[in-house]
Amino acid sequence: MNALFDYLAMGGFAWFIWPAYAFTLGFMIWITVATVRSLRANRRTLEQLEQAAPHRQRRAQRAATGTAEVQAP
Amino acid sequence: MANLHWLANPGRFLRIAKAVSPVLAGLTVVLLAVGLALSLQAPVDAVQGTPSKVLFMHVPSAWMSMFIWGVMAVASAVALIWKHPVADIAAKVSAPLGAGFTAATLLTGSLWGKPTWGTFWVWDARLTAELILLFLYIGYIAIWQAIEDPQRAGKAAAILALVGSVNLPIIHFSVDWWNTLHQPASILRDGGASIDASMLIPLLLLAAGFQAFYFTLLLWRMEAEIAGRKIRQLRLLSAQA
Repeated sequence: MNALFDYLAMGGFAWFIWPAYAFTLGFMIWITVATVRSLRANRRTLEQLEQAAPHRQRRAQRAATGTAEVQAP
Repeated sequence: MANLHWLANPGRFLRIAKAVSPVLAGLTVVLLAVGLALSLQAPVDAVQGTPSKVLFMHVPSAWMSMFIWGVMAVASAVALIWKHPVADIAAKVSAPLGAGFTAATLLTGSLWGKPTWGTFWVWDARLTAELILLFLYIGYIAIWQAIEDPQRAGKAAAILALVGSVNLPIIHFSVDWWNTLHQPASILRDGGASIDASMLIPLLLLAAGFQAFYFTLLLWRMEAEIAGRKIRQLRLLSAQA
């Protein structure tokens, strides 16, 4: 147990080392959660809208991205 | 450039992104887990002592802060020249990731600077150039938020991304051009890396993990952005009908 505390104390530099790890990894976790949430929400909303008005899909696709969606028949 | 035009079709891009992103996500988890474990076990620098452990977060973050702006600059050039819609979206959704890594670079740098140099901050050439990079990211994000029309916002933001890329070589070479407090490069330098393998291996694993993390999130964020634009258009059309 003492070995663990010694390790965590980082030779007295714990207050410099652990916050550096915490901030960097914390940012990465936070932005991952935010990204996955918005991706799931947008996927769900888009699916509902497309089911409600399937004929408008193509026009929305073109208008949203500025290109024609070319698909094989 | 043929490949880029091939990906310009958002439908095709999404199909590829959905196939690739799970593989990239798995790779990210493995690289970060192994890199982190090794970084926590790694011996400390003989001269700098324990604070040098901050290196394992600071250096990969710093590389990402510059790499992501580079990606945004290239994507912006592609968007401006070839009117490539997917490139525009790639640049836009990259900016918050780059801004976060730049903030992490500055923060971890000051946590390393205090015990090593005796100060959290100094107006040193490299530190100042990195701070300017943070302001560039914030400015880039602000342009997208301030201009409502995505076509016009994209054009203005792309110009900032290209002009701002001048800062990248300034950051990299600042330690050679000016007499700085910041230590010179120890990996990307003539004559090969000058740090021991026991520190170099976890550092490179973490750097690779940060890269894989960026590309995973890039694909997810691009899909979310494309879906968001389709949602807005569908709502607009149903309001007109």
